[in-house]
Amino acid sequence: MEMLNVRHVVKTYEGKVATPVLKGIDLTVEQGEFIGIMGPSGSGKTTFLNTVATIDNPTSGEVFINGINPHLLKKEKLASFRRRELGFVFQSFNLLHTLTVEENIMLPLTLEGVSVKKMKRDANELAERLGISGIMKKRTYEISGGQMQRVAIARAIIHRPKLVLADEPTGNLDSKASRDVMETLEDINRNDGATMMMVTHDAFAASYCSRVIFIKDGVMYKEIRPTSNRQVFFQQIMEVLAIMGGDQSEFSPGRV
Amino acid sequence: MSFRQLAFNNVFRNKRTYAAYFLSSAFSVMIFFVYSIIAYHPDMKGGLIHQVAVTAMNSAQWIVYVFSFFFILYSVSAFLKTRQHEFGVLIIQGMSHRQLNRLIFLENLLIGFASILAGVGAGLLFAKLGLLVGGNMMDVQLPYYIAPRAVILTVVSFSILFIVISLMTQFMVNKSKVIQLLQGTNKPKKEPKASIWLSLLSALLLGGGYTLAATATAATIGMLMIPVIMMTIIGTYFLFSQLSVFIINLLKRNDHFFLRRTNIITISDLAYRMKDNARMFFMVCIVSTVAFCAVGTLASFGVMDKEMELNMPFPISYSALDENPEALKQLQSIEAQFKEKNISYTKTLTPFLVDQSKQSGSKVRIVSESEFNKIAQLLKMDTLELQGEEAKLLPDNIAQSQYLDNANKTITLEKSGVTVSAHGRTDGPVFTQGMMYNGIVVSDEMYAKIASQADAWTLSGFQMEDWEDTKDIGSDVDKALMEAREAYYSNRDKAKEPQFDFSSLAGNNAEMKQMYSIMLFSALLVGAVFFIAAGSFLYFRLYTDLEQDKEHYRAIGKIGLKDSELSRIATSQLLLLFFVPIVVAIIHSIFAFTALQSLMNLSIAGQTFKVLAGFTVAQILYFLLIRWRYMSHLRQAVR
Repeated sequence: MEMLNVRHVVKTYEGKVATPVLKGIDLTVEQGEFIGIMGPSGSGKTTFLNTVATIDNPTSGEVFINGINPHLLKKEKLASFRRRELGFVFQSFNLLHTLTVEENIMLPLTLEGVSVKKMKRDANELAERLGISGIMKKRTYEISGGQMQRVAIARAIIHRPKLVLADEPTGNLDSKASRDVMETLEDINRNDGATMMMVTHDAFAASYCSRVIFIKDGVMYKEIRPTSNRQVFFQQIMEVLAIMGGDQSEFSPGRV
Repeated sequence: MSFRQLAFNNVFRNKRTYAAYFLSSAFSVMIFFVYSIIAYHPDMKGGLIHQVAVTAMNSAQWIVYVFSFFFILYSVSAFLKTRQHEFGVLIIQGMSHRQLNRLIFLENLLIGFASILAGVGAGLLFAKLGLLVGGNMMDVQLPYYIAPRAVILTVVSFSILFIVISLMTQFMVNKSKVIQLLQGTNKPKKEPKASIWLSLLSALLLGGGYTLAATATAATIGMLMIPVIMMTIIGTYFLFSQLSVFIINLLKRNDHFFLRRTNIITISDLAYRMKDNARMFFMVCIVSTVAFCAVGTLASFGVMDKEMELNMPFPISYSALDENPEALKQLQSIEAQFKEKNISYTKTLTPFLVDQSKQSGSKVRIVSESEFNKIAQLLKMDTLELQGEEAKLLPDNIAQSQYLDNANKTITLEKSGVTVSAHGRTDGPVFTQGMMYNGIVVSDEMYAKIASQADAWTLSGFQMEDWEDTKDIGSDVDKALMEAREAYYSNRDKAKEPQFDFSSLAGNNAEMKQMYSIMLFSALLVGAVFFIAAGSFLYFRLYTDLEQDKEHYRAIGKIGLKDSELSRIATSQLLLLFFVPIVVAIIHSIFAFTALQSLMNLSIAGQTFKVLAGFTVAQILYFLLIRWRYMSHLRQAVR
């Protein structure tokens, strides 16, 4: 089943000089895929994610998520679309500091008006699975970066969204925490069948994906799929990055 | 977690951010409440003083209310601006616009009602003190009593205020651009550009406003007031938004200064936040100026009791129609009271005539040249020499003197038919204020002509060593006068017009002192509300930037920054933040007082100095308190 269909998306930032960022991108994602998006700084990968995520509007082109173009929805409909169909994970976690870990996880359900009993049950189940049960009553400034990202992941999937979007989820984490987070995402992708799309700089993180797409200068450059195991896929990704050019030092050295 | 809990958590786990705003709102509610308690106190009915007090309290109360509205509106919008990122996250989590509006509405309502509760609660505690101080000033005992009307008025007025502002919050966040919300306030703000022209305009406006204020006279001040205030406000805005940027850029360009030790950090930090700071400097400066001027103006009325002394050379004066049968009795009563209190006095008798002017229809009091000269000699003033129809106007008080300088008046007297022409005035007022109102001095020959037709009166002026001992002397006559006047004014029956007059310096002085202290009491509290609000702006500025500052100093700390250097940078920034707007406000106020001086006949410098010094001391204390807290936060972060 087709989960995401992006048709010729163009994004131009208007200013004194109009800056084209996306010059027409097409992409189809099947349900259950785990897509990685890579590219040098300024290639437009985050802008691309933002247009899919409804955070930003495309200048032209269409985005269909599960057959619906969210950019055409009215305000209220768009809110419930985000609430039901989408989940977000950000580089800077974007947890709310006034809430506890548990409350942060329950936030999407709170907005939906789910009963408190069900909220708590779902949150606790999920926390158990992500190994964050012990910190449920803590406030966000009391926990580590890896824990924060797992809390953000829990918040992104508690409402069982159709599409989970992640922007550099490992960007602020050390290698141990990165590995935990990627394994968590992989587990969710495999066992819950959630479709995922992740923007990353990190070839190690990208090696968990079922397909990696490379964007350069606002157009699709190449896409690759894993052929055997993860180590091999990691090497393949590194090779594409090397050929694609850009500043080599932007990409992290191998960690596998 | 239900939706309501979400709003609740947002407020209660953000206590530190909201602390100053909350306290300052609660303080406004409390002051409003204390004013209503006094105004609605059942013992405050009747009497001139009480009426004045109730009016003063009521106006002060509504000034506080209107100010609170704008203060709270501004604070709320500033808070919302710092939370843009958070709102972006909530929208991305699927919060609808309606839900976001409701969330902000609930949060504000929560703070609003908490402030009302705290303010009324504190008001109940401080009402005792308020009633004691207020009562003392009016010379009445006000027992502790809270009129239910006062509670209802306070709660209802502020509930309306908070609900209206909470409803307005939904227009304060632009929710349609999620990406902008998510980027929030993190991105560095551009330095506002300094335009030479606007900087010049600012200097021009301020200079012009100051010049006009300094040269204002009693005649022009009414006309000049509004334009000068407008010029000062606009000038101040550009002073902070343009001129200051201009100066900072100048400093930055001077490498010897900019690159010297910690200056580089201090100055570049200053430039980075100039846009926010400019607006805040402006607000704090204007609000403080208003507070200084309000309190200073009323404090200046304190010099009026000195003026009153000069206006009443005879501390006790009594006059009566010679035919008035009561006259002798009342005069004897006054003299008996002097003896009773063992006060020695000298009595000066001045006969005068009362007639009516054909031109204006008002009463004219006529004194002969020789009688006037007798008193003028006694008071060491210039004597007169008048011929024929020549006359001089007799000023009632010092303030009136300057209006009569070049007056030319031809007066035809109703009863005697005599016409005199008055050019200019006598050297000064020689009789007690009010006793010889609309007075003229005529030649002895003319006086004799008028005397045959007009009513003959006699004024008895009493002088003694110390007028302050005479407070109750003649109070029976004063009371009789009040009653007679009341009877007369109720139906303006000519026949009932009082045929005697009485005036006591000590009595008038006591009455004025009371009025003055009531006004000062109201102005002080209003000034306090304004001043605390200005403090709250500063607090808000510091605490919204605290997290960024910690990050900033942590980074600098890694490069190597001594504790003393950290303290020096932070202190110099705090000093600027706290004292730049206050110093400008003080300069504004000094010019405002210079203008005010033109209305006063005695110097108000002493009074205004006390007020400005008082506010400066308060600001220094606040600065020390905040600096202590702020530094301990920074030290913790850097360690």
